[in-house]
Amino acid sequence: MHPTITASLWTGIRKGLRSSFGIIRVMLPVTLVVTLLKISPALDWLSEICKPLMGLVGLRGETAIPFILGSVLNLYVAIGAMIPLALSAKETTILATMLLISHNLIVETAVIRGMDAPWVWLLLLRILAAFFMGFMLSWML
Amino acid sequence: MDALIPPAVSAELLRSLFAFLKVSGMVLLIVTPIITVMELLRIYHWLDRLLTPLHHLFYWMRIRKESVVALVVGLIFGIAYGGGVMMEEKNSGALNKRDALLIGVFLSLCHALIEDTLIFAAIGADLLIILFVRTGFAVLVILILSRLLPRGPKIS
Repeated sequence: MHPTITASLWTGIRKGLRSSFGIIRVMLPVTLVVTLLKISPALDWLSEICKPLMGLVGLRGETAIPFILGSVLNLYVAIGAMIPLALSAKETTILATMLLISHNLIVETAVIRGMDAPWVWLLLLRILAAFFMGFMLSWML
Repeated sequence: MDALIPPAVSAELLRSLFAFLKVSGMVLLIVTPIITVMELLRIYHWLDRLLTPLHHLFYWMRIRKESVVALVVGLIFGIAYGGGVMMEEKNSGALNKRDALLIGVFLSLCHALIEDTLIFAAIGADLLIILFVRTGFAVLVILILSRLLPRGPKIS
């Protein structure tokens, strides 16, 4: 027998709130660290280094921080890192598209491997597709 | 006496703090209802009723009806859930290699379409662009791949 709709609704809301606060807790330290980097000269230095890479997709060098963090870890870490950078709408759209294609690669590649799909090719495809789409968008937007 | 923290620094800290609070509020407003609805979908098996129309939607992929479940679950809930459904099918011996490959490729390129898309839209990305660029690219890859792969033995 199914539980009542009210009970299920409460279960859902509790789960939702727990996830939301979990996400906020993940974002907080990342936002803090990137803000501190921004205050220090370190961000400009990192930005200079990553300029050739992110310049391909029309973004500032420092956007490599959320892109790499998001690709290796997850989207919420990436969003936490995007907060202090104060990106424009165009930059946010480009970076969001790239991150939506290429994120959480360690965990998700393990899942893909479990599905018996060609994970090495798919891993490469995701990273290349992210840059290709970023390039197209930087050119079109 | 000078302020302990230079004004430029405190301005930066404040700006980050406000942006963080704003995004946190959005996460609460977006993620909580989505998880709630997903939980209801799961408890009441509402997805099962949508399966026949969804199978028609993915007709062009030429995959088995059972595989459409894994795909739809992955597209809505995320790759871990879709992968979980695929594992169950694999263990029961129902999954064929062609379906596994197509769904693996599709889900690795796009999944968790609702939550991830809305969160990025909330922080200022263009919703239509981020949604359609990703799904469009995945559909294109799958269209090509599903035509290249020979169709497996006909089951249903």
